[in-house]
Amino acid sequence: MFDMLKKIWQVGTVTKKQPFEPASKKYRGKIELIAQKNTNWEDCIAACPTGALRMNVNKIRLFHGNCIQCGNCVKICNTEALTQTTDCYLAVNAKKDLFISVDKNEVK
Amino acid sequence: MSEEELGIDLKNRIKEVLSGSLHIRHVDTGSCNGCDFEMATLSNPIYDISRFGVSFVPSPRQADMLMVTGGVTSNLEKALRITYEATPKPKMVLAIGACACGGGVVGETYANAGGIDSFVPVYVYVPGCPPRPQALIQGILLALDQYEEVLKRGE
Repeated sequence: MFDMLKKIWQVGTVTKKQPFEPASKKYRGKIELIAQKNTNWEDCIAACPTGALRMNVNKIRLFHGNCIQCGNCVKICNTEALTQTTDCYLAVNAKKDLFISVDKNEVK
Repeated sequence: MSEEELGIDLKNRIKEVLSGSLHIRHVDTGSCNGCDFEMATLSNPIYDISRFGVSFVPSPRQADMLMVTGGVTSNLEKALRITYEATPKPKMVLAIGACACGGGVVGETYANAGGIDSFVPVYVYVPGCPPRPQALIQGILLALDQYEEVLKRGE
């Protein structure tokens, strides 16, 4: 019994309070899509294993429902158009909020 | 007592009950078990979702919420429908993981439906492969907000 009490005293409280601390720097979270000129969109789209990143005429569309946050597109992208954040809070009420689409040649 | 009054009584009771606790039934429709492990993490000492009054139950008849993982395979289509029908109204459905939201790695094939929303109405989508437990808690909170509105409307 004393062993158990000793262990409880040693370990202390492990339960974390909300809001939880952010994920570690290496965590692969939400992909952010910002339109930039001279981006190699075709290569990025070819690198996507699930078809989450697609092109529609002049629109680039990212569907978070398919994205597995592998980061392949970010590695291949030659500009800062695609970036990987450590954000994990992706839950939404409607499916249309999962779609992100930007214009191909937009300058920001 | 007419049926409607019974229903109203029951509704008030559910309101009363739900302000205290939420019961979740987990439905696996052909996932790779990544999301299931993250859901198991919810009840461990670190995230300890029981302190919010949320618990996992073994039967859909006791559940307020269904947590569905995996894109629906053709074998488990029926199981999902039966589980959904067995859950008492009003019921919430959460789509957990990329597969349940829109196909994910498996996509839409002859064996895989690619998303659960073609079979059951979905309250909240929680994408990620797999989603972190924090994201699941956020999803549950979002669903509860919507649930409150549904209860107010009296559906």
